[in-house]
Amino acid sequence: MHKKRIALLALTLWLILIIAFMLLARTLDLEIFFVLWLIGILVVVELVSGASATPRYLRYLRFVIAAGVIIFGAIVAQKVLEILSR
Amino acid sequence: MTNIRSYWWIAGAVLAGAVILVAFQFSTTNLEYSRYNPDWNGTSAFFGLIEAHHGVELRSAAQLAGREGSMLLIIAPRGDLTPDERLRYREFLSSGNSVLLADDSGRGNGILSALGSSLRVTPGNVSSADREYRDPSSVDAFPAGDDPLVNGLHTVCLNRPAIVSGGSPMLGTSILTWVDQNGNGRLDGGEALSRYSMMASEKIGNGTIYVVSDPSIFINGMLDPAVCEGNRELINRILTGAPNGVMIDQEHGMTGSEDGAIQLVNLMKGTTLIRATALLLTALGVIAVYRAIKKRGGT
Amino acid sequence: MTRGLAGVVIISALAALILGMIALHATSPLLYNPSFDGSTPAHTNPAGLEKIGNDQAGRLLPLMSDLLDSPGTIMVNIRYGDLDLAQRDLEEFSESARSFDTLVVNLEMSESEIEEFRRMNRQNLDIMTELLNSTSRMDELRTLEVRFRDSNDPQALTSITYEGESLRKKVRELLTDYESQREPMIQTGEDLELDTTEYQESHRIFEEIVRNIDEEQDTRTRELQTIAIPVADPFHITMRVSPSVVRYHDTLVISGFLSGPDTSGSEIELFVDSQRETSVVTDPSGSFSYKMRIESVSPGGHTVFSTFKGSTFSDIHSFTVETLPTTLTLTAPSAVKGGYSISGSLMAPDRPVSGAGVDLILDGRIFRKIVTGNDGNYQAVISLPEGDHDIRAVFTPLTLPLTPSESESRHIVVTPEDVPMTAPRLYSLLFGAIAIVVSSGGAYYYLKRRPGSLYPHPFTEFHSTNGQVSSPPEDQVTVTEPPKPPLEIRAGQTLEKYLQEDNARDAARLLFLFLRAEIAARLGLRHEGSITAREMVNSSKGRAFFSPLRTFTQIYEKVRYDRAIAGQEEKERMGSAFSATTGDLGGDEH
Repeated sequence: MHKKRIALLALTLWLILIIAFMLLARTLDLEIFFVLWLIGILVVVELVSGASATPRYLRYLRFVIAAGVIIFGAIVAQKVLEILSR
Repeated sequence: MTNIRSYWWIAGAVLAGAVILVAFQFSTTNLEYSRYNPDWNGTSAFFGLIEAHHGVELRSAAQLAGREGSMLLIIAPRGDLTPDERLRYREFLSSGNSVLLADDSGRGNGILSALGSSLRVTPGNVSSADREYRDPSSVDAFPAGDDPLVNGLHTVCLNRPAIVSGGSPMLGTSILTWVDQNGNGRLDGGEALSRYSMMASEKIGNGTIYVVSDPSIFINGMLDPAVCEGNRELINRILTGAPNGVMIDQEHGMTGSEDGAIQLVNLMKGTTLIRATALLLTALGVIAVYRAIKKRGGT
Repeated sequence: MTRGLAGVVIISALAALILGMIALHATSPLLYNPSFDGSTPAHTNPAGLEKIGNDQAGRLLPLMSDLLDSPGTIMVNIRYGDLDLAQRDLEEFSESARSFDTLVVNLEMSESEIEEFRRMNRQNLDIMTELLNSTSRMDELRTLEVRFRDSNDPQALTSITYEGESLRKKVRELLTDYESQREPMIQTGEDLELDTTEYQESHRIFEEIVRNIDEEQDTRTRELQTIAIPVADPFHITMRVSPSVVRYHDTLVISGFLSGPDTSGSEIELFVDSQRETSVVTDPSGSFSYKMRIESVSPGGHTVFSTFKGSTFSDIHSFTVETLPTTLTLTAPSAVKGGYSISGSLMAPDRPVSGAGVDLILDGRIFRKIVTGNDGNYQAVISLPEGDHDIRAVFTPLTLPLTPSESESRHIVVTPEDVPMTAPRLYSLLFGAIAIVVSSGGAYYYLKRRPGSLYPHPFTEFHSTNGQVSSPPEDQVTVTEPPKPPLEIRAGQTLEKYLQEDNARDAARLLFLFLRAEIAARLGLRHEGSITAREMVNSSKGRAFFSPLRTFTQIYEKVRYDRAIAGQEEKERMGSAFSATTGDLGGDEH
């Protein structure tokens, strides 16, 4: 199977798994979802890239991941400040 | 080619899941006390019990005529009786039937006076030191008097009840109960301790009126599982107490409240023509799908 | 519009829609939590509540009933002289009172009529304790009296009578205090459907006790007068106490005069309430005086007498301590660094009450005890959690002759923004900025780094048949070869070198290296340097160049590893196999 298809399937299953657990816990939190999505996509992209150069379909994805990392930084900052101000 | 077909299967599965969710969304509601509300503040479980005991849903006062030995439940009343209804309800009462009104807002007082009763419900933040949960309004009520509905009952647990005045008391609180006027959950200097009546009865002609100052005993969160031994027993007695069965007023009680989608569904369920058409369409759809699959397999 | 483009447009539109909906919730990312639907105005969700046992509330009324009956039990024992039993009952009473105090706090009824009852009960407990102390002392006096009567010691008998007198006074006042609570206690008891008969009975018993003491003391006083004093006492003390009514922080002046021979510099002992208060020395004229500041003196009547050498007694004088009303103020809490500052003062009413304990009550519970300063002021800094709070201050006089008082209740709402941040605003902005810069740097590094540059990359970096440098990173995005001469030309060059090489094995190796480099790149094989010819062939199964490569490898192995020296024939065959392989390599499009 094409790596691309496997990557897509893995990421989708991962997101569905997260949502299922959120439903079970009856807590829907966007921040948690975002962070877990970022982890998932970083892992998937890392596994797919491997030793050879980045495939064509991952080229634009790296920009998305970069944007995700910046938002992640903002979330971490906000959480730390929240804890400090308690 | 195999890959594209598998995509169709996946898309189909997702679509089917979405259809099921939408169907569920339209068949339930989150209106307070509604029988279509499966959540903790709905009465879907109670209606399951009603059906098990062959209870009848009252949609028009005409259904009351000629009955004897039945009990009419009006849970969380909304709206008043029309003059025509007043006559029919009074006739129902005086022919040896009983009416049980469960209300903690005071809105049922209009119905009570229309029926000629002197019982009244006074809303208020009734709080007690004898409580079931950490919330002061989870008041415990104890049986009083010897009406068969409450005789020998265990403690009944209530949820933000009001006060019943008048009639013969059937359920009352302990003396460590007060009305929390400033809403701070504590007993303050100006709030007096006293016993309050939570359920009372009154004889009108050949019939009896019961008033319970807490319709919350019928909601799913309090019934399924039952928060207290006494609650389950009381509900049981209410459903089996009348020899000729129980009727539930869906016109005047919030148990019958519906929103748009459910109204539509009920309307469709009600009309025979639409039912028949839906059945026909479903049958045609199944046949079409069957033939499509057969064709595919053949090539 | 092609199907592909339509698909991309639809997906982009859906993605934009969903991102938009997510962005709407960006500020409050917690979409749902069970606490969101915990209650409606009509009821609370029991699933979210904690079930508690009923035993606390169930204990309240029985405990109150016990407390109502306790004074009576104690006093019956006192009445019939069973002081040990009375002591035991008193201890039980004290225990129950303590449990009751805790229970009232736990049930959060500290501001209700139950609290009133609790206060009065405390008062009763104090009265009973004092009563028992006084009656025990009376009992001791009786024993002493017998002894002294036998030894015929009139002075001792006098002091006993005097002490008995002050005890009588005290017990009479205890009765008055006890009586003053009678009506309110009975009222509360009846409101709560408690049985008040034993409590009412206790008042009658108390009166009996007091009557008995009265009779006893009257007898004693009468007897004292009939006892002849064998030796006329040359000394005589006259005394004066002024003012006759004093209040908190007033000064009581006890003055007097010792008459008799040689009275200067004599020591006079002063007794207040039959307890030795102090001793003063007379001046050359025989006068003495003492100033007593009224602080922890209980309200009511008190007795004073003085003695000289334990044998001369003054008359018994008395003074009364009046209670003063107090006012307790509490300012509105103001936000300061570290919490909220509250202050207030306790005045009575024109003089400050110093060194007194004030309880601060937050939401019905005592959460801080502070002491007033010399000027009657108190101040504290408290931290408050979020939400609505009621604060008030309460003063309980204990032994001071003052009335209890409460300040007004202050209501304060603490919103989340008010909760002071320990890190000032500027630092938090700075920290946020740093965090974003760091994560942007991380993102930038992620974009710029070459993929897989963590592993050695021999193909693009080190392969340079024509000494060309590997291409700049931007081009490392597609699997294209760096610009070098086409395969055929390079193959030809290698073949030429091969033919020129005399050593067959080295020549063969030339061809092999070339093939390995090309094929490893083509097939994406790693660790090119360690691939053997066999492995190369196995990896090439299914490719167009498979069979000429296999032929080449067979000859190559023979030449390289076989001791036999390759002849011209093998050389030619290897050369042609090589050409065939490279030819097919060029044609293989994958």
